Amino acid sequence: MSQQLHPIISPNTNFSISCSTSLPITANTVPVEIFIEICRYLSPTDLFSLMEVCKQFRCWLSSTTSKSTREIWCTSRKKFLPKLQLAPFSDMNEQSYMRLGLIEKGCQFCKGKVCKVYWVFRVRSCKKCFSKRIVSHRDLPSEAMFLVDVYNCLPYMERGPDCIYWHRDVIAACRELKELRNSNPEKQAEWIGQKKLTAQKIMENYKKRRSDQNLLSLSLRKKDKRQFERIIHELKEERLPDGNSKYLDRWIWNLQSCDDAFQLSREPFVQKDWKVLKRAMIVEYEELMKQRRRLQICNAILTLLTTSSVHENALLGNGISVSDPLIGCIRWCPSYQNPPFFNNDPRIPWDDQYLSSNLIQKLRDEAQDLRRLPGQIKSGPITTVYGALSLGCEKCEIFMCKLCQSEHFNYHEACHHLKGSKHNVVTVLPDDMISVDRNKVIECIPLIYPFDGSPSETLQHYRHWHV
Amino acid sequence: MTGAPEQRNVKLTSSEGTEFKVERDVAEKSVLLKNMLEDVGESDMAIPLPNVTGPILQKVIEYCIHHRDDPVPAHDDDTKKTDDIDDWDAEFCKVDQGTLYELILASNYLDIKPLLDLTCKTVANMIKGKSPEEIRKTFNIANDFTPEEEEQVRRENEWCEGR
Repeated sequence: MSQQLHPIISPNTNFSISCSTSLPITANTVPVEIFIEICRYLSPTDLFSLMEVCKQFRCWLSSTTSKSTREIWCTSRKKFLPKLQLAPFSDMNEQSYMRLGLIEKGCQFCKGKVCKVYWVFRVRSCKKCFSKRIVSHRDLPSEAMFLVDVYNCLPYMERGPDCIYWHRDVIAACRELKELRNSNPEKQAEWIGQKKLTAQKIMENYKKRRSDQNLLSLSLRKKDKRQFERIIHELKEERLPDGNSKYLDRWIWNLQSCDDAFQLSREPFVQKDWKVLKRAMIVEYEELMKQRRRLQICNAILTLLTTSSVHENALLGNGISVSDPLIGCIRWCPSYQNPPFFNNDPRIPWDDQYLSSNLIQKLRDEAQDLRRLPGQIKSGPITTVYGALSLGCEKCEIFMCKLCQSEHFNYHEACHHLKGSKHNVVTVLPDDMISVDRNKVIECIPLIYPFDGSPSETLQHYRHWHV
Repeated sequence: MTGAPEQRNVKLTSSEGTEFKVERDVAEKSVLLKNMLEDVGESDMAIPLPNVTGPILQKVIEYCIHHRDDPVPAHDDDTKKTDDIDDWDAEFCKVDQGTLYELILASNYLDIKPLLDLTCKTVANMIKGKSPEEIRKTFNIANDFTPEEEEQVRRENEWCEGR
């Protein structure tokens, strides 16, 4: 094997490749050290593909003795296969280890996607194919019985109170034993000894692997926990120009991504990008702060809506009626989506004065502009039965019977009332027989327009779905 | 030599004999040139680079100028990912395969680790997720397997050893 990979001797070795005009990268021209460099960035799956490209690549990648080849595979495995971080079994090379361990390739028998590696039997299989190929202790052929009971000659897995064996292993062992039937006892003993040793080694390897795996996941979990705590710490340490904390502890713990990461940190073997997490947390934090300000706006609107008509208070000048464009359009107003700061300073909280006289007016102007845009945003005023029903208010008690003008009903009650013994109506004509009490409408506005500070779809999105 | 206020220029000669003048800190992005300059000391002699053509040397210098203020990369960290190429670098690598290949060779020869990483990453990205046939097509590699050999490699990789 003269073409085996050799480690790079020194990065600046002079190699005599002529750098003449555009020479495509081909198997014959790419120097081995460049090939190794490129392989550093490839996943095992890509390496397997490269192996099938041409003889040269195959030769470079399939060697079981070259140190560089082993390093290529090992690097790739460690980088791309978080579930295969443990070193291969002592009797297995990197390539075979990965061929077996690449669960992305699916079940080795039926190619089904959901599969598992059964390390004792060295198969990658789905449950169905696996159960077809195993045999439990009680179903073992009699001649195999003493092999496992007396000599422990076959690798096994425990399954509840039972032990299972790989069917082919059992058949092979029985056949070999049969062939030895007429030979001398020494030879038989030698065979049994050999079998026993092999099985023992496999079982030891497997047990070691299991305990290594536990240790590894424990250490990974610890590492994750440290990383996670470090990010929280970093966020807490960030300061505003005036020296106050930029991100407050109690809000940090309210973040969804923080919660997710906390869950994740209990589950090892998931590759996590902590930098991404930190960025996500910052974005989410800003959004949370916006949401809190939006909630303030919503509360102010609801207060103005319900109080202004009743009380002659100081805010009256800014009172909001049900027909106010704000009611229907608030979620698409730029100043709601990105609530401004008082004096551009995020640290100063809004006071009532600013909210009611400044911000609400600004929002109303924006809402009015939105209404003028083509595409008709159907806004607040619920004056007709049709309007109330189309906004989903049939369960609200805002409907009145036009004939007797007495009680408030929900829509179904109103129809029922009309058809009842009092009026004996056969066909209900909604707009002629039912009216909507606009004073009551105020009460159900929070139900129709969820004033909960939630972020809105963009206007385009809204128009796309609602026009 | 330390604390010299003005940058001395370094002269480099490409394989065709074209001379390039670069500032010393730019040239020192190449470990090969850095070592040479340290060994030789101040000199007006041009350094011959018989392995690098003019156009490629031009590109390499362009890269070194853009990255002149980058910190020296830490030793072999495990952040070797292929998706962290910034816009300028990505644009820089939008060249034909021949040029890309020569850039790899030149950066390897001149020992400019970040450029070697970048160009190899770019090639790796061209390989990622492709089937063997697609890889052959992309890089114009002839299939020198016999059909039987090809089948054998494929079977081997499938891990179906008669279990």
